[in-house]
Amino acid sequence: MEMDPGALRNFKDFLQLYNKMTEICFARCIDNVNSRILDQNEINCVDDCSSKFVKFNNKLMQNFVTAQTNIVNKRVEEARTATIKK
Amino acid sequence: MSQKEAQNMQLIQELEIEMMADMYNRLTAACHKKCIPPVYNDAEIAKGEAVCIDRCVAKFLDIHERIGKKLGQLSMQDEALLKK
Repeated sequence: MEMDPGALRNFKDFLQLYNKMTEICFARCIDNVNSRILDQNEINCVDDCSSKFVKFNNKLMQNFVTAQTNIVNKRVEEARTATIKK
Repeated sequence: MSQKEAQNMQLIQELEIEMMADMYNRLTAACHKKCIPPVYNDAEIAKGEAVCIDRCVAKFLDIHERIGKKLGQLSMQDEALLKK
């Protein structure tokens, strides 16, 4: 069972993503409210939407981590050169 | 159940409640957008709007459940891969 606050934070973010996915896929895949039941097209659309969203999120996270790391390294470097000049 | 495990269970349950509340808010926004046209002649809910709300909620919750199952499958796959 998860015990550290990091894992709990991850889980909370995961749940947030889950809800976001539901909202987005509902908005994009459901254009009519003619029935209570999802028809096959809507089901396929939701399947594709959710898979794509997961992959999108992974790619986005990779890019974010890379870009953010570069930004932080640049800041560290600038701070270092600033203190050396003093 | 040890005390730590009980505390963890409670935290997870709290998160689940928070998630449900968030889901409800999104459901409200989505179905309001789909079912209530922005032209107000009347304060009452018309029959068509009521039917729309019923179907909208059904579809939204169905999608929520499907995606939940799918994510569950994916995390089990991930776990299996990590264990190898």
